[in-house]
Amino acid sequence: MKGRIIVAVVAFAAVALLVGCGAVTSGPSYDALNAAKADFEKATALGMKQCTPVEYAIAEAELEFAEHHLNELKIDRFREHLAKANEMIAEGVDKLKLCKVIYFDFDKYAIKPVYYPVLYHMADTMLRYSDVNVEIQGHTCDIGTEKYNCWLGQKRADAVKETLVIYEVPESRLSTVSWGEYMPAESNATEAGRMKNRRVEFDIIYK
Amino acid sequence: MRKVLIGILVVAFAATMFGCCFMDAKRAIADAQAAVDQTKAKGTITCAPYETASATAYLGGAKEVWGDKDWCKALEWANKSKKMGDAALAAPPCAVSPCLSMMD
Repeated sequence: MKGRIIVAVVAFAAVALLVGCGAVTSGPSYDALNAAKADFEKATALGMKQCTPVEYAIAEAELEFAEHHLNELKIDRFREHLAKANEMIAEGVDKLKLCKVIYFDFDKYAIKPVYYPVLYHMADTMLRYSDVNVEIQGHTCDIGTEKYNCWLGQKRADAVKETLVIYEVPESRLSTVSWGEYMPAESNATEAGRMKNRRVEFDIIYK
Repeated sequence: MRKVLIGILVVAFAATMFGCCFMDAKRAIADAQAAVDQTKAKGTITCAPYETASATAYLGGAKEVWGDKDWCKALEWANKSKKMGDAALAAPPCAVSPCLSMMD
């Protein structure tokens, strides 16, 4: 009799353990966590780590915290961390607008009309996030002297800065630097590569 | 006699596990805090933003689970924070454009 009771208790415990283990890895909370992880992966593929590394780092950590608290069945804390992770992912993706590239014609520093909407959206994004400044980096291809290309890169950066200021971004939040021909995005051996090098890029500066 | 011995071993094992995480986590959090303070003092957020932000986030996480008496998780996250903080402090300075000297 005693033996049977022990067997029954062990069997019940085994079933409860199996059912329990199954239950804690599924359900609405896990669905929400998995959805946030999927969003994070998508944002990573869009270049969030390179463009907005602070939001990326916080989202990455918050997702880990959320998962830990969910496994510990601390649902309020899980929700808190998941909300923070989602907020950082959304903010990081939104700030990707600050990492666009503006291309220029050979030996020119006038902004092509096609880029005005891009700069308008950049300005709008900057105005919504006061925690970041932007460094505007002017680049050129390798045709011409190094000194001339430094000058041209600066003129390109200045032209972009002026446009952003017109769109009401405070001048104090924008800095410029010319890299001339020293940091090509592509090889200068072909015209296609040189076209990609005549550009302005942006770097987010965290305060 | 045998049961007593097993009991002592189990208690000793549990105490060792608990004790190791507790003591190590306490020290790791202090180390991570020092590293994070240094990143703030040196302004590493500009040139090593990912590492700096990660160090700060994991330190926060470690402190939170320390409050829950989850010593081993606190140790894990404090170590992560310290590693990231050290990486931020060891990062090379921001690149400087050669144009800056050329255009003077």
